[in-house]
Amino acid sequence: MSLCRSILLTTMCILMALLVSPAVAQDETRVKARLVADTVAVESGSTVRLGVHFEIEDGWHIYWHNPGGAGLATDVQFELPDGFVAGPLQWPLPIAFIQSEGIPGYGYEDSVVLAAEITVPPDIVISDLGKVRAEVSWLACKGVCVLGSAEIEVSLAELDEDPVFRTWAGQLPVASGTENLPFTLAVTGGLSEGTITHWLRWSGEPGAVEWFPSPSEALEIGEVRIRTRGGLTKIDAEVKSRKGASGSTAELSSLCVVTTEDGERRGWELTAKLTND
Amino acid sequence: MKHIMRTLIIALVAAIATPAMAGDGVSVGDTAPAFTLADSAGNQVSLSDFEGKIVVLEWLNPDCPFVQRHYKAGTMKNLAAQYAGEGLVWLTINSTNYMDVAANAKFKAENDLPYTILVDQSGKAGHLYGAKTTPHMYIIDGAGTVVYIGAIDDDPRGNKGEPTVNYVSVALDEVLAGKSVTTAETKPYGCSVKYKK
Repeated sequence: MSLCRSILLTTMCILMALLVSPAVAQDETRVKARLVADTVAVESGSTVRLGVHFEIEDGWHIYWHNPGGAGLATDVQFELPDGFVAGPLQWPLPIAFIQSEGIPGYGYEDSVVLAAEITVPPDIVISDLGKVRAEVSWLACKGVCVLGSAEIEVSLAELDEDPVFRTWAGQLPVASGTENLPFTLAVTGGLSEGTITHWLRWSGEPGAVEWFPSPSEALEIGEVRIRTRGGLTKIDAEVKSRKGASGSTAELSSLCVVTTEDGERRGWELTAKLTND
Repeated sequence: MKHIMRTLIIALVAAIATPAMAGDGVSVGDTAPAFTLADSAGNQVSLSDFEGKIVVLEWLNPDCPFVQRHYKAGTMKNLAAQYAGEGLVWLTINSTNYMDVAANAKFKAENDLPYTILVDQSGKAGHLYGAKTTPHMYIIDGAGTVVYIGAIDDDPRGNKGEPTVNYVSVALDEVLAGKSVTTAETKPYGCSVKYKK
């Protein structure tokens, strides 16, 4: 058994090594992944954005960090030189789709950039900079599903400011707790009621409202109903805890996304308490 | 034009997704609902045929890469063999809309499976249990109560290395020891069950 595992591991290592390519990779999933940066030069003590730009073939999708009722979150792991620190992966607003009857899915079509802020240590010698590498894996589906993975790398001394970052920040949700939101939020219900309701009072009619629960091992989200009348949106979500599962059940994080009549999408992260503790 | 389509899709997703999810499936503690399905040899098999026994239900789609990984590793077959001596019944259910008796018989033969594959092209049993992913695992104890629902293990990407936790194995050990299942529900992972539209 251990011999078989060693052979398997060696084979996988060889295959992974073959997949390593400078900055871009593609597999049979028809998803192209390349490393992108928002700067031309890394400077001591600065912060740069480094991301993976996924180009997804027409009709296929990959997944948000909560894939929905099935699927698998896209994963990006950066390997950085000593002293560099990567912040959390930032997820642009997802779209919702039906994976199969009764099974919602959340993810991305066409293209998306999953990026993180990288803190560059002070007192680095730019000429000594090595390469940055990203281990990327995804599940791509279009009726059938195909797992994809790649290791992509780029030399930190050869970065280029990628145009995808010109509009990227506008695709991110507004963080929870931010002031001057276009709505006021009230939350009723919780785990003991089996339903949590987010009430959003807008200053006018908001447009089409969507709601995306954040990933959770411990919480199961069931039926979701969204109704908007005038300037009031009511989002009812069935919620229950998974018995014995790991993770917190004290709070539910989620994302509210509005699409206006002219097609503009904006999103806000919401946090709601699920218990009275 | 694209944004009009997008708005229409949002409305459609909201209209289709939500009612179908309502109260779908079973919960831990429920009495396992009865079903009768044809197996890959064409025989009718009912859950009630195994009254008093511990039953594992495994949702299958041979086209799903997560299922393929577990069948290459022998996860399901080894687990079924490990507990066969304890009288465990392993029933694999395929709710993939396009896989008929012959397709399931072929998969069973190719993989030399000792257990039954039940053919659920209509998706009736899948919806009855609320199966969402392949694989999606359920354990029914000897009293006919659902005692585990969720993932096969804690390694959705298959790259965790050892040790992984096989939730089904842990739960079966607890059931066989007469204990209640500690981790009774986990988030299932895999492809969506390809239900008939």
